[in-house]
This record gives sequence, C-alpha cells and structure tokens, in this order.
Amino acid sequence: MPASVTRLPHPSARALEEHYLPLWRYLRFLGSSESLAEDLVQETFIAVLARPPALHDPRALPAYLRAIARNLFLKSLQKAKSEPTWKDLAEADAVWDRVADREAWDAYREAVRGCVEGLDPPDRSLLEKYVARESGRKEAAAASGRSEEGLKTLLRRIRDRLKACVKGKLSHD
Amino acid sequence: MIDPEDRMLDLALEELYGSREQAPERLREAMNRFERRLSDLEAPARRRPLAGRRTAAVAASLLSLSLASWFVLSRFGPVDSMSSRDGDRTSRGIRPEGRQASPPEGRIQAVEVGRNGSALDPEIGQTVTIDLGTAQGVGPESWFEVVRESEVLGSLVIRKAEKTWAMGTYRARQPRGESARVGDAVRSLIPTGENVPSRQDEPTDRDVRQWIEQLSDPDAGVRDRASAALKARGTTILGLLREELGRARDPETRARLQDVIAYWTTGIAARVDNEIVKWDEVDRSFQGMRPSDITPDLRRQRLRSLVEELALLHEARRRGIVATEQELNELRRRKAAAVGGEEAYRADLWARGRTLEGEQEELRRQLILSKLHDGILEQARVNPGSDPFRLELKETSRDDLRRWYDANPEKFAGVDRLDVCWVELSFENDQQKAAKKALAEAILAKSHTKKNLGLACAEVGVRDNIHIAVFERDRASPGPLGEATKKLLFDSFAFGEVRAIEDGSTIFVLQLYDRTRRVIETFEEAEPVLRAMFENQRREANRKRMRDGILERASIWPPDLFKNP
Repeated sequence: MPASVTRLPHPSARALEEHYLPLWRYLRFLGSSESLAEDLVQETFIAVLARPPALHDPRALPAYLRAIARNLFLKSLQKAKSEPTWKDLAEADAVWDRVADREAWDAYREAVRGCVEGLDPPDRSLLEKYVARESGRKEAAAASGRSEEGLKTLLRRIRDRLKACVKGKLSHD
Repeated sequence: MIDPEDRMLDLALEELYGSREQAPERLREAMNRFERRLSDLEAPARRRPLAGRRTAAVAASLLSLSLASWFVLSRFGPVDSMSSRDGDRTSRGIRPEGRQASPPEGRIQAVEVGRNGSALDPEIGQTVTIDLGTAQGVGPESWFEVVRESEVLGSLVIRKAEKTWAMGTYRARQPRGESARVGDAVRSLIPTGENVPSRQDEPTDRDVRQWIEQLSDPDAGVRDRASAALKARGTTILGLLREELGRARDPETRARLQDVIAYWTTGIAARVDNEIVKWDEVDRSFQGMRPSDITPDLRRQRLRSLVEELALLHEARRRGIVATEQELNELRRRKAAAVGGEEAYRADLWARGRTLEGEQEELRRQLILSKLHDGILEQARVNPGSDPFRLELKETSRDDLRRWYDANPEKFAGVDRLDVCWVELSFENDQQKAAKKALAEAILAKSHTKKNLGLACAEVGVRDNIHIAVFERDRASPGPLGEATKKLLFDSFAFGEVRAIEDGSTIFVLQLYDRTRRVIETFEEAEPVLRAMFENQRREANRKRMRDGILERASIWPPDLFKNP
C-alpha cells in the first residue's frame, strides 16, 4: 500500500486546459484521428472531473490522464473492432515518454524543424508539400518525375535522414 | 505495425507543415466546446441540446437512469458468439436472427416488466417495447441493443449505437429486481419502425475493395485504418483477400494483405465453443513483462488459463449464472474494506495500473466463477445421482480425522528447536587464546551493527569454520558444542542474540537466528486445523473435477491443448 495518498484538489475544466494539447497529441500518436482524439480528450477530462484521482503525487496527473486516455482509445478500437497498430504499446509509450511534457515536445519539434531546413531544397519542398497535403502521391510523383513507388522510397529515405538528424541534434543538446 | 519513432516524426511534421488550424486556435475552440459540453451535462436532461455524437451518447446514459423499471426486448435471436473476443467477455454483441437490426423510429413502444404478470413477464417472441418518450439523443438513426441480461432482471446493460456497433454502455436498472423467468429470453431489441434505414453492419464487397485500395494510400493513418477494418471483418472475406493478393502489385498493399490473411489464419490461438482466443490477447496479458521472459511455455500456459476461464464462463452462461450489481458492489465493498477503505482501494488499483472498470470486470468474472462452483456443488448435494462431475460431497468423519492424527504423531508432538549459526575459533596456547578472543570480540562488535553473524565474520575476514545447525531440546546431536553450551542456547539466548562462549579449547561465537516452539497438541486441539486441511483438499479436488468435466464437455480447439504437458 502506498505510504501516503493525497487527493488532488477538484480540478476545473480550465485547470485541465494545459493538458489538452499534450493529451490530444498523445492520442494522435497512438493512432486516433483528429476528431476522435478530441472526443477522447474530452472523455478523459469528464472522467477526471467526475472522479478526481487519488494520486501519490500531483505531478503524476499527466501520466494518469494519459493512462485514462489510452484506455479510452483501446476501448474505441474494441468498439470499432479494430486492432491497435502498435506491436507493443508499452514500447510505444516508452518512446512517447521522451517527449510527453511540453518542453520536451517543443525541443523535439524544433529539432525536426532544424533538420527539415537542412534538407536539400527539392527534398524539403517535396516533404513540406506532401505533409501539407498540397499534393497527393500521384501528383507529387509526377511533379518529381518519379514513379509512385520511387516517391515512396524517397520519402522513406528522407524520413530516415530526419530521424537520424533529430537524434543527433537532441543528443548534442 | 507502426514504428513509434516514425509516428512521432509524423506528428511533428504535421504540426510544422500541416494545413490544419494552428494549435492555439484549436485549443481555444476545443476548450470552449468542452466547456459547453460540461454545461450541457450539468443542465437538466430534457433541456439539453445535442451537441455531437458523443454528447448524445452521454445524454443517453443519463437518460437510461430514468428508464429504471423499463425493459427493452422483442424477438430473440442467437448470440453472436463467432465474433472474436474484444477484451470484454461479458458484453459482446447479440444480434437478432434472420435480419439485421435496424434503428427504431424516435418513439419506441414499451411495456413494463414486473413480477410474473402476463403482460409484465414476456414470452419469447412477444414484442416488449419501451416508450422513450422525450428521450434526447434517440433519433431515427439510433437504436438500442441488449448485450447482457442480468439474473432476475436485476439490471440490464444496453448499448446505444448510431450506425455502428456500440457507442457506449449504459445500465437500465430494474429497481425491484423481481421477475425471475425471462432470463435467457432477453436477447435483443428489434425496432418497431418499418421505414427505418437498415443497419450497415456487414460490409459489402465494395467496402472491402475500397479498404484494399486504401492499403496503398499515401497517408499511413488511412492505410492503418484500412488494415484494421479488414482485420475486423473476420474470416468471411479471406477468399476475396487472397484473390486481391494475387492481383496486387504494390508492395505495401501486398504486405498488408499478407498481414491480414496471416492474422486470420495464424493468429488464432484457441477456440472455445464458437469463441476464439487470439495470440494477440495472450500476449497482451504479458504487458509490462520483458519480452525475453515470455517463453513459449509461458505463452501456452497463459493460453490454457484463458481458455479454461472462458470455458467456465461459457458453462456459467449456459446455466444462466450472472453477477448482479448488488453482489458486485458488495464484493467491491469488501475488497475496499480489506485494504483500508475506498480511497486506499483506488490508490491500490492505481498503483497496480488497473482501472476501476477493468477491476469491475475482473470482479464480475471472479464472482461468476465462484457462483458457478457453488451452484454445481449445491446441485450435486440436492441431487447427487445427476452429478456429472462425481464430486466428493461427504465430510471427513471424526473417526477418519482421528485415524490420521494417530498415524502422524510427529506432526503434533511438542517441539523446541533452535537454528544456530556459529564460528569456531580454536586455540592451543594462551597467546593464541588472547588473539582469538580479540577476534571474537571484533566479530561480536560487528554483529551488533550487521545483525548477522555470517556478515560480521566476512567483515573481519573470517571465512572458515562457520557452521549452521539445528538443535532440538532433549535430542542428542553430534557436533563440537558441549552440552553446557547447548543448554545455555536453549535457556538463555534471546532471538537473534550473538554471544561468545569459551568451550574447552575453542571460543564459539554463536547466534541464535531462529527458534520453533510448539507444545504437544491433543486430538481435540488439532481437530479444527485437521478438518480445515481436509476440507481444503476436498474443495480443491472438487474444483479440479468440475474444471476437468467442463473442459471435457466444451468444444475446444486445439484438442490437445490440455493434454500435452
């Protein structure tokens, strides 16, 4: 049994505001669509507002919220009779833990930005357009003079380069 | 399967270069929506506007409380037990026979279910409907489905869904808990409206082909959703998938199709009656364990226990055994009391990584299994001739207990036993004696801080001549310790005490580290314990016979699951 348990003060909706984006992002990371993630964040908040958790440490609240959100997400998969897209959810969670708090995420995103800026201009332009959905795969392939398969391979390589670059940047920081 | 690092990168790229709204605006809007939703929930139900599908579902859950004495059912169909288990064993969908359930028109007729009155005690096939009146959130696209019936109609869990299966689970309580005969008859709500759209439950070939096309979509999310949708279809589309695999050229499509086919042809670990257990489910139960610790034997063992539990739950269902809310609450209350109250209970759950809901389901299963066991025992007692499990029902007689007592006197004899550790420091002359004495004192001093003679010896560099032995009072035991020393040990050593004793040409540093004392037990004194022991053995033997009997009767695949070690 835990030695001491403190009940959090009853949270208000506004008090939860700071957790909205991180939680939404986490759900997106797990594979939720944008709208489902939004719904699930709200479900999570409602659960917490209805029954404020007893936690050892109030700093555990984000992790507690994530656990609720994760369960809700898994339930939504069950209801939709879908399978998680993760081989190992615990492993995925461990990866997410690295960027779970706001500062860590901002640092990660900035590292990605820096790395994208370091790409060759054609690659960067392709990636930006592609991510922004300005062009579909077919159009992007045609514009770059590649086959769809070729484009997919190129994108894969760009992503691999980005991952390596981000890793390097973060470890230097 | 997605690589977490890839997914993280995708998210960051989306935030940096995506075309959706900027985060702050998005957040502000979302929070406003959320606050509106909260105020909707706090408002009286009838005035509550509908603000989206989830809000509608929450509204319906509140509404369900007002449905207390109402009960929804009509024509009955078979349990859809071919579906893969989705983690919630007790709340699977139950589909009507012959035709697809379709949503009712806004108004659903109703009749109250009560104690044995003909109108209140529906027969199979009789239409029993419920007037949802001003039900908010129930529109032409909405319908209810009974997914689990309670014993004596104590409670019903119904699911409300909009087009798809299940948006949420709600309880409609039957306050008086009367009427005992509907039981298994409760299956499904069949809508009364004629001009209502059909429920699109089964996908068409067109849907399937569309998902297959989406397997090569540039968006990984779309590809994953399509894979998941195909997986959810079950084995019915295997032929089509294989056909498409033969045609597909895109490597990603091929890989994903192969993955889906493999999922349905290689992922099945076992089947109990018509319900399957997948390896995924077995593996999920190892969450938190290191992959290297999960051996094939362990997986098989876990599979057996899942199958065994499932077979027992099926048997319970066949016998109409369920756990009522009242029983569950009582069990939960006892569990909470055992750990020091509701708050401590929740903290304990939290510390174990369990959700209240998950715990509730676990308790429900435990309760059902326990009731199954008690029910079978009771049935066998009432009608021993029809007991298929050949249970042992006779209590052990006093004479049998006495015989066992007489045959095992050593188990009831008086005992005074010491566990002693010592180190021998021998000397031959005064000079050596002085040196050994100094050493003994050093060991003694260390023992006070280390509380352990072995560790103290190691600290001062003594590694030889350290011994451990057990001595029983009045029983001869060979060894270097003289009788006087042993007497000292029995009569004056305290538990854990370390002392140096000179005995002949040796200084012994001794520690008494354990002592067992028991007085002789008479038969009368030993009888309750003996009876409990025999009762336990009988209970375990009966449990095993029931389990074996149920497993034997259940249709289990692979057939040798419980045969091989």
